[in-house]
Amino acid sequence: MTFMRRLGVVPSALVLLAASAAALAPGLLSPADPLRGDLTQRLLPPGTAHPFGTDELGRDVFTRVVHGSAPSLQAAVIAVGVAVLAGSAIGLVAGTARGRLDGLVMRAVEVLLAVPSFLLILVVVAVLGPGTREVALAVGVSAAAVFSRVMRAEVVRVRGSGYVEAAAVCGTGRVTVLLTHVLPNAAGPVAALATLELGNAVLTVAAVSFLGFGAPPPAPEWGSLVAAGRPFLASAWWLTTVPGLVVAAVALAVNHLGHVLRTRSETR
Amino acid sequence: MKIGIRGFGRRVPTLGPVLRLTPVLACCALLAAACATADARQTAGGALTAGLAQPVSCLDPHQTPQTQNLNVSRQLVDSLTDQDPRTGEIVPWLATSWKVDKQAKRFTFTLRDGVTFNDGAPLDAATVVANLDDIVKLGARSPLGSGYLAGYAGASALDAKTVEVRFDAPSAQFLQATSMVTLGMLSPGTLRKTPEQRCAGGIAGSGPYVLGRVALNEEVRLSARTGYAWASALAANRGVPRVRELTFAIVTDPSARHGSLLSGQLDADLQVLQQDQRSFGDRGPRLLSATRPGIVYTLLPNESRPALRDPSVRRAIGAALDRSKFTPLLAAGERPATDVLATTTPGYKDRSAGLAYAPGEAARLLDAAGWRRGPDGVRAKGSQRLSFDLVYSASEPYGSLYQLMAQQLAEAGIELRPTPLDDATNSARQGSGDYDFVSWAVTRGDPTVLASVYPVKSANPLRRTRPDEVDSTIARIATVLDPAERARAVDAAAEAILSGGHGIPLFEQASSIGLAERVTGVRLDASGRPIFQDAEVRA
Repeated sequence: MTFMRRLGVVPSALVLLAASAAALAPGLLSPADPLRGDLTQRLLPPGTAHPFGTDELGRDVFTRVVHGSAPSLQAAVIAVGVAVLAGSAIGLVAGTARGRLDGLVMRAVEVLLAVPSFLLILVVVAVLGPGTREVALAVGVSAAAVFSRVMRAEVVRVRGSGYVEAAAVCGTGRVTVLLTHVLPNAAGPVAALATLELGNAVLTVAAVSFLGFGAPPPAPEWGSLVAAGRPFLASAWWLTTVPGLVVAAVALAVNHLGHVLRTRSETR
Repeated sequence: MKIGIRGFGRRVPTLGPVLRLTPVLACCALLAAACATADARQTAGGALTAGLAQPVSCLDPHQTPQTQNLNVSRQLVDSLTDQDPRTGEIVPWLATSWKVDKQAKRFTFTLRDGVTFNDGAPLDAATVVANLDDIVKLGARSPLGSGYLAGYAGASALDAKTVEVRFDAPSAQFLQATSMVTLGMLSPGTLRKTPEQRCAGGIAGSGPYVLGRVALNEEVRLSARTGYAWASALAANRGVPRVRELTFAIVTDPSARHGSLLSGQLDADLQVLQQDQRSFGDRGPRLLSATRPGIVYTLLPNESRPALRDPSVRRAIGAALDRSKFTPLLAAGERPATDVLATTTPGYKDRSAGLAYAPGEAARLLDAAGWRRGPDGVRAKGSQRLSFDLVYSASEPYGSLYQLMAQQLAEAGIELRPTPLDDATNSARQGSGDYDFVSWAVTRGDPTVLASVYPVKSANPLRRTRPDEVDSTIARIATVLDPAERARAVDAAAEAILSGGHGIPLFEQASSIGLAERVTGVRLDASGRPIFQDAEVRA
C-alpha cells in the first residue's frame, strides 16, 4: 500500500463516520427542523450561524443536508443489499447447476449488463413510481448482474476444490454443501465488490433523486437538494455546490476505503 | 480475488455519466458567473432570439390555452381588435370600426381593406365568420374560445367587409374577447385542415411574422411577413417589423436562460425568475414586467373528493394561509391576492378582508366539522387524515411557494403535499381528476374570465357537478353592460366563490421579461404577452 493511499484513510473514515452519524442521529448534529424555515433568514450565504447557508425559504442547508443523509444513505445501502442478495442467489444457482440452466441464466444476466444501467434504473423507477425505496430497488436491480457473474465464477472455482468433493463423498446433502462449504468460501470477492458498489450506489441514488424520482418535496435528499438549488445557480451558489460536494465526498470516501480494504485482503 | 477486481474494472465505464454529474453542476455555476462578465455578442440588427421557458406543444391559437404556445401564436395571427394595456380601451386592428347594439347581442365589425393571409388569401367577412364558426365547432378543444363565444348564435357576412355576430343572450365580454389571440384570424385554407395538423404548425395567419422551422423541444423560427402593413393602432410601426428573424429558443432551465441573456446569446428571456431579478437595473439588461389581468393564481379544490366536498374545510384552508408571507418569494409585479381577480382586471375590488390570515377561524371551522388533531399533528376524522396532494408541473416556478403554503397549513393541522410531476403525468392526472388541488391562473382583461374556471360548464377543475349560485352569478356578468351594474355582478360572483371556498386566491402573477441592453421597442400587450412589432436590435 502506498503512502498516499494510507494518507487518505483517516479523512475518508472521518467523512464516512460523520455521514453515518448524520444518518443515524440527525437530531444530534443539527437540532433544527429541516422542513421549516424562517423567511427573514432566506438565501443567506454560508456563515457562522448557518455553516452551509440558507435556502429560499430560510431553511438551514446544513440541517437539510444532515437530515437528508438518512434517506440518501439508506437507499444506497438497500440498493447494495438488493444487488448482493439477488446477484449472489442467481450466481449460486447458475454456478451450481451448470449445464443448460447456467447458460440460460447467464445469457439473461448478459442482456441485463448490455443495457446501460442508468436506463435500466429509469425504467424500473418509471414502473414502480417515484420514492426513496423505489429508487433503491431500481439501483439494486441494475447492479445485481455484476454480483451474479462474480458469484458464479467463484462458485465454479470453489466447487472443484478438494473439501467440497470430500463433503460430497461423505454424503452431505447438496444444499448443505452449497450453504456451508461453497457459499462462505465464495463470498470474499462479493464482499469486496459490495464495498466498492456502495460508493457507486450513493452517486446513482443522488443522480436519480436529482432527476426528480426521489422523495417528493419538501423532504430533503442529497440529489433533490442539488436539483432544488439549480434555479439559484446565478444568485445562491451554495444551494447546489454544498450538497454536491457532500455527495462527492461520501462517494470518494466509500470508494477509497473499499479500495484500501480490498488491496489489504489481497496482499494478505 | 482477481475476479472481483476484473468485475469492478469492467464496471467503471458505466459509472461515467453518474460520476460526471457533480462536476457538471459545479461547471454550470462557474459558467453562469463567467457569463455575467462576458462581452455582449454582436448580432445583426435584424435578428432577435427569445428564450421560451416551456416547450411549444401546439401553435393553433384557436385551440391551445397555454402561455408559451400563445406567446408564439400571438406573433403569427392578428385579431379584430387590440386592447390598450394601460387603459383597457379596445382599439382598432383588423376591424377599423364596430357597432354594439344596446343589449350587447349584436356586434357589427367593419374590416380593414387590403389585409391578406400569408398563404395569399384575402381577409374578408366570410373568413371572419368561418373563424368564429371554427372555434365553436372545436368545442372542448378550445377551452378559452368556448368561453369567449358562450351564447354564440351565429355570424353572417353583410357584405365583403362587414360582419355581424349575434348572441342568444347579451354578451358584454365579446368585444374584449376579439382582442385575444385565441380569437385570432386564420386563413380559410388553414381552417380546412384538421385540428391536429394545425396544432403541429400548419397555420397561416395575417400576422407580422410567418412560421418557419418548428423543431420539437428546440426552437421555433419565424420570419417577418413581407408586405405587412396592418399592425394594431397601438403599434408605432404599422408596417413590416424591423426584426426580420424572430427565433424562440426553448431553454427550460431558468439558470441557463438567465445566463444566456447576460452573456448575449439570448436577446430576451420570456420568464425571469424572482431570484434573478436583482441582476437587472438601469444599465445593462432591463426587466419588463406587468401584472397579468384575469384570475389570480388560485388554489382550486377538487370538490369531488370527500374531504373537500365540505365548504368549511375549503374555507378553513383559505383562512390558514398567511398570504402576506408570500411577498419575498414573488417576482416584480406580483403581489399577494386581494381578490379572485388581479388588480389589473376591470371589476377588481379589494376583498382582502375576506382573504386575511385567520388561524383562529380556520381552527374553529375544522373543529366544528369534526376534524381533530391526531398524534402526528394532522387533523383526522375517523381513519381519514386531512391530507391533500397539490399536483403541478415540475417546470412551474412556484414550487417553493407551495412548500411555504404547506408549512403554513401544517400549523392548522392540514397536510398539503406539493407533488411536482413531469408534464405528461401532470396533464394526465389533471385530465382524469386525480388530484386534491391544482393551482391555476387564467389571463384575460375582463371579469368574465371567471367563467373559464368556476362554472360546471367550463374547464371545471373543481369537478363540480351541480350548477348553483356560482354558475348563475358568473353567467350574469356577461349579460350586463352598465358599468355599475357589472361591478355589482362581479361582486356577487366573487362573493359566491369566496364564501363557498370554491377558489383559494394565492397571488397575482406577472409576466417578467428580461431584455438585453441592445433590444428596444418590445412591449407587453394587455395579456402580458411580448409584442415584437416595434422591436429593434442594435448591432
